[in-house]
Amino acid sequence: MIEMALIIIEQALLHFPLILGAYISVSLMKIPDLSIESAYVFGAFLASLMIPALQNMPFIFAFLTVICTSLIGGATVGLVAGLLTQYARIPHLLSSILTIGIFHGISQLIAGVYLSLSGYNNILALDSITLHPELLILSVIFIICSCVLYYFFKTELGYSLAVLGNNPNFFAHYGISSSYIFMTGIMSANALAGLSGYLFAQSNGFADINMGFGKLLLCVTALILGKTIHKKTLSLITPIAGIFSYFALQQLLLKVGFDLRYFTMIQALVIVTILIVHHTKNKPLTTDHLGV
Amino acid sequence: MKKLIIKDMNFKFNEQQNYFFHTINITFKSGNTYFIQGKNGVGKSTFFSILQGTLPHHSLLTGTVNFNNTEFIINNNCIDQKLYSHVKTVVQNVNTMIVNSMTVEENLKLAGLPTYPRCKPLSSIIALPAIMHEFMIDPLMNVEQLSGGQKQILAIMMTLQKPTQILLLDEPTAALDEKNTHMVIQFLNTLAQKIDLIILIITHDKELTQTYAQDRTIIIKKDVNETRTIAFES
Repeated sequence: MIEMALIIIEQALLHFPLILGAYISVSLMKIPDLSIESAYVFGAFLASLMIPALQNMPFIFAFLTVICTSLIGGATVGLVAGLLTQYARIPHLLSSILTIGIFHGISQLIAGVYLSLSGYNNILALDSITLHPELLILSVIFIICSCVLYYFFKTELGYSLAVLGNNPNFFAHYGISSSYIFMTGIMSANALAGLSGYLFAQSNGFADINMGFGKLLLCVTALILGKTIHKKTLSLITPIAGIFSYFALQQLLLKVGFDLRYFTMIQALVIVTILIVHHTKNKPLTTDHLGV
Repeated sequence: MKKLIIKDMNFKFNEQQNYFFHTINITFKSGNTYFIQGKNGVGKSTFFSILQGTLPHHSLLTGTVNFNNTEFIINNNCIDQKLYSHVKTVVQNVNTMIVNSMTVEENLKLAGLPTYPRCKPLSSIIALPAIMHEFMIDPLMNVEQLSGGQKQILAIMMTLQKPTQILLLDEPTAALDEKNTHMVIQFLNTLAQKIDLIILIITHDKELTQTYAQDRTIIIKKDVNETRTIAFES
């Protein structure tokens, strides 16, 4: 039982930055941000490339370097997607699809299709802990991310992101730059996805070109689960509750002997069930065209 | 008391056309609400555009504008930019100006955002929450729970979060029932007196002007040459 709880916590913590990113772009800004799948891979690749060079460096330096690299990698993907939307005037759904294409190539150019991290020190792992050696550092990252985002959601910029999703015309009327808000939002969302990609790669010992597949569905499922638990906008509880309940559900299904290969299907069915139940109860979940 | 004095103002959309407005002489005093009436297409919105500084290119504007004893020169078909910083507008569809999923207080704070929002906590509200109590608006209420009239009041309060001396409203009561219309106009009257504003309201509602402002109704009419005159209703 404790082992199961630990797995849930570890998995949730690994995906926590990703879900925060998706919360910003999909839930707050209401944009179909497919490019976070690409940011997830690119962040992982970029940070993994740094690891061989950081082997004999002091822990704190190595740690900060990989974290920053993965954040920058993710943010680059966000930058490209955002620029395509804002300055090339391509609808965001298309520009994020194009971004995925672009970075699928770039990732392979710089690192190939597969990067193995075995043989190198695991920066996230502490030697003194034998079982789940990464849990402590993951918790620290969780706390830092939560604190930063908690503060961020109380600032002008944080509120602006939620306003962008709710009423895009608002900014034009008050003379506020909406492209600035859009770019900041999408870049921070993708940066967080990049960080999550690195955490996943480090804990699994490899980075793979296809590791981003299905991550957006994971995010949407978790966010809808979170939203059924906690409805308030601009709250950290939604993504946190969402990601923990998502992995609790996953582990529960595993426990009763369910084959995880079909889990993607289950996710889609869970979303469908939640939405239908809310609609038939005549109390629609306050969803939009993205469902979150 | 502040006065907005418009003297000998002429306006046309381009060189070739006749004058659109010809020798307009009109004075507005602060603390008052004025109602502007006229048929569709007569030039009510164009008059607002002159005050807001949103005239199209190639238009010609001459005359003098005096506000609060300061002369604003008309240059390059534009009144001196400094006048525009005193003028704020509330659009017809207030839903574009408010954020539905947030509370009244958050909306008021958001209206004060700078051009580039910073990573700093939202600044506090400048304007008067006391007035809002009179109109049954609780700052912690969600905007979705407000009535149409209350939304209109909120939009006006949000506009006033930035320094304003002249407030322009384009048909604020068009979509409202009698009770809400009454509430909004009451609110505007109170506001004009409390913070010494000049409020100009475009409206089609004749009943409204007869009830509230018989001596403060302005009629825009056009003559055979398509030239408009603006004058107080006699």
